[in-house]
Amino acid sequence: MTAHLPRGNGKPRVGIFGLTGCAGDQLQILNCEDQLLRLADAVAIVDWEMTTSDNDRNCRLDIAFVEGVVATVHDLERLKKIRARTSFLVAIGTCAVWGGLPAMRNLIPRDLLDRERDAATARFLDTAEALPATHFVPFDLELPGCPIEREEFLTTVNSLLFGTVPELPAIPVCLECKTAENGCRVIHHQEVCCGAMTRGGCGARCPSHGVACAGCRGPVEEPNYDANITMFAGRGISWVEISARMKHFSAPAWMRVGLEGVKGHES
Amino acid sequence: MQTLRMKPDLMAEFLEALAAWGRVWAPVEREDGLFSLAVIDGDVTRARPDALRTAVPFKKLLLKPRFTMLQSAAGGTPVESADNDAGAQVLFGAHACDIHALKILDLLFLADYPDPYYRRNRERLVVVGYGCWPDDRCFCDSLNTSTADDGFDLFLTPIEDGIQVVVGSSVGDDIVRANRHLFEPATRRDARHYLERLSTRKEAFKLKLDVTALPFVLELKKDDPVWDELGRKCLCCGSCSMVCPTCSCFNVADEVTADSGAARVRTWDSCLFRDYATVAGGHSFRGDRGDRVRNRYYHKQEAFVREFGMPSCVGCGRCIDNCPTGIHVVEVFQHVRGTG
Repeated sequence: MTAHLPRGNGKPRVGIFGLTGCAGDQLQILNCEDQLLRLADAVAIVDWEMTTSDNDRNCRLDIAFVEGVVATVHDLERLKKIRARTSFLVAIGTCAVWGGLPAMRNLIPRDLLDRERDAATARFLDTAEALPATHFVPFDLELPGCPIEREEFLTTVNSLLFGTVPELPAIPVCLECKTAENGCRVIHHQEVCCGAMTRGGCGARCPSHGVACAGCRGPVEEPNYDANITMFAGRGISWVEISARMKHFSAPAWMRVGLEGVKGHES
Repeated sequence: MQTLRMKPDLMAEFLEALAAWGRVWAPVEREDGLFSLAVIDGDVTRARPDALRTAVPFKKLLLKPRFTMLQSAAGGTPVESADNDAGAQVLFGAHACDIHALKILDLLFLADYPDPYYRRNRERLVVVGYGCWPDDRCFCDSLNTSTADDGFDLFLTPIEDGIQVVVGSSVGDDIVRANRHLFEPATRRDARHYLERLSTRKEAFKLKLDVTALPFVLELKKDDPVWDELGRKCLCCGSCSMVCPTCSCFNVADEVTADSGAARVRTWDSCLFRDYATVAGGHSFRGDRGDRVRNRYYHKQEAFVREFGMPSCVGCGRCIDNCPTGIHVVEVFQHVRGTG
């Protein structure tokens, strides 16, 4: 796969957008402090609301990065417009790729939410079920993570500038955790650790700091959802605990990818 | 081969002396009951050669889990990287199974097409073995890897009021000659203690794997339902491959770096990952988890035997220790054979 970017006739035009979410992925881009100036020199960032009010909202974009879920009608309109004006569209962060935290509570019926809101003070917005941006329009690349890895973002931009698409890690967190020689959160600490189901690339950051993997980077290609749950339950961990731990980031995606054995996550 | 003895209280001095031969790696306690090979320069008292197994074996001294083979600055010409070149290293506390595993890696990486990255570190590796005592996950005795006759420079075995030191190479001899004051001639009593230890140790092995005609059993049991059952139980997390002293599959990928240079990177990999057997067009040789689990066991006990005349499992028990779902290699083979 190659990225078709303008070569020799000016810098690629880049837009960075946030739908419903915490803006943490955009913040990670700003956190690339050592590389920001070089990056700003290599591309023309023409539309990025988080950093400037002087944006070109209509021009063609060579690359666009989108974070967040579609949780309002307005989100969806924006997303479709971004797609229409962009050559190479990149989803950044687990919200955009898998649904992430906003998708955790989709099981609560919307009419129940409407009934339970405080009618006197809150207006029911044009909200919809929170679904990942990748559910609605085709993306050319997906960078998972909550938030994204800075290094992965930078190598992605650099690869695209070279006209190539980076190969993202497909290995589970366990590989990186084992090579870091951490005590296993499951075996040695009897915790619900989602590392075996979760895509690596984070360097097993959480287990290396003594915290079980919460699954923030979304499912590996073929997660064995059922065997993981059986394993946790077999170690005497309560179903409530298992459910609470696994629900954080990717449970809806694990259910879909793991139980139905569907490759990819298009519904 | 020469046999000497050393007083136990000279161990620290011996370890300090080893530093003249390279950076000294030894098992150290990392978490409660969890051991890791670490460089002990500076504090040799951390060395715990009695530790039965480190989670990740010595293979990380020869090939790092991730290293750069070639690199180039932005727009520059690629040059070879010395990222994996560790220089002179001393592995202290290798058990007999580790030494056999090292010989297996030598077969893989030095026989037909020598791997320069492996070779550069292997040639400068000094191996000091240490006699261990089995627990309920050791089954090296079934695989004839519970003792080592060669493949080490020195081999230390704790015996009654002393440590037996066997010299196994000219480098081992150099170490002894340079530190004469640490060693004494072995006595007849030492030999008796050693032989007694050997026979009681043999009795101490509780876990046994029957390898009789195992390649033939496996050939006949390719379609056994056990592989599908294992496929349902296995998480394909790759932990067993990472901790296996003879698992050595790797991936090579070209990457653009964060500072816009480029690097060719070699990383540890595992045949349990779907990605590993995926080829152009998205086709996979081993699409099902069951296929991949079977492949790993067949590689150890069938394919390797046919190619090299011995299994590539040394019975160290690391995969038993580290499987989160409790897949037990010995039980798997008992099940396949119909005896478990």
